[in-house]
Amino acid sequence: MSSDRKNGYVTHVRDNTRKYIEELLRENARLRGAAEGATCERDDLRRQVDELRADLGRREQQHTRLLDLLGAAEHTSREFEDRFVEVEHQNANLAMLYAASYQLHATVRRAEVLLAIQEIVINLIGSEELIIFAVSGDGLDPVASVGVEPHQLARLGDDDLIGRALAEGTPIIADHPDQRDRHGVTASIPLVIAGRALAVIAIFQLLPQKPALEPLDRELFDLLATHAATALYCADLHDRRGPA
Amino acid sequence: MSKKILLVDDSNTVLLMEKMILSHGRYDVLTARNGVEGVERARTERPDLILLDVMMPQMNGLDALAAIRAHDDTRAIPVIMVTTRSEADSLEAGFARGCNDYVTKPVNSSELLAKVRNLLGE
Repeated sequence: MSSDRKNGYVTHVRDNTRKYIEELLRENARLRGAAEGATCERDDLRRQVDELRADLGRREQQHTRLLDLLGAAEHTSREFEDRFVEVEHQNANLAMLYAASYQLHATVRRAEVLLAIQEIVINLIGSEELIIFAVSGDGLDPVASVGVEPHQLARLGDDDLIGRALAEGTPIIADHPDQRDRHGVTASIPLVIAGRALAVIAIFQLLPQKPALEPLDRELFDLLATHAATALYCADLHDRRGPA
Repeated sequence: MSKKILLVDDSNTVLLMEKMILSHGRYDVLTARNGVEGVERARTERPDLILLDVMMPQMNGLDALAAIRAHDDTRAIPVIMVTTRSEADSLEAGFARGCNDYVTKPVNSSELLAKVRNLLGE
């Protein structure tokens, strides 16, 4: 190989190598720029992730607070519902007592007062077996009855519920069936005015759908004991006075 | 506008008590003292619901229910029967004639209001 050809080859290789190195340097610079851009983007994304995490944390706290508020609101709502049911129940009880009292005092006719007493026992207390006795001297005269024949009762004694109610001047109640007396009386209510019993109500079997007497029934018994007595007393006075 | 409820019962005590319970529930309450009057008031007043006692003079609750169901103007009115006894016979007869529900005496106010509200879609 001649010296000229050798120099030409070397020059060619050197030029090519330079071009290659220059391309490598340009590519390196481009990649460095890309890497810097990626690093910036990564840092930016990290910042965004951190912000989103912080936002998520705030939202989770807010969600927890809202759940607490919802729980408290539901609790308050339940309390109001319970209170509403209770008030509705009390209203109904008062309505029952008012209806009973109103009916007893709506007339001065003895027969209608006795009818009102029967209606109260049947419809409000829940028994279709009762006798109303008038107290006359030492004896008891049946003046009204439903579902039970008064003559079916054996002679009444002081130990019977009727005798005890008259002696004590307050309603006597058999809370359980085995506490009923030998006549099967569940409750006996003396109608007392000014310390004197005018009459006594004997209630026997309760309706099948009514398993036991309830607190409201006791209030009705107390109401009957006083208001029915007053109503009967007024009716007796009215009868004695005669027609106007 | 308040919904209208017709109470049919021969007992003043029951009418007064039911009226007070239902008036608290913000209903307009009408009353009738027997089956004949009840059927007549149902036709003229077209109530949203009828509370019908079973045992009544002149026309009992079951016959009144049949008359209510037989008339075009009152056929669709929901009826709750009020029975003193929860015997199967009277209940079966009531349902056979088309009553929608029943309550037994002594009337439990919560039960009554719940059934009324249910039938009125409240």
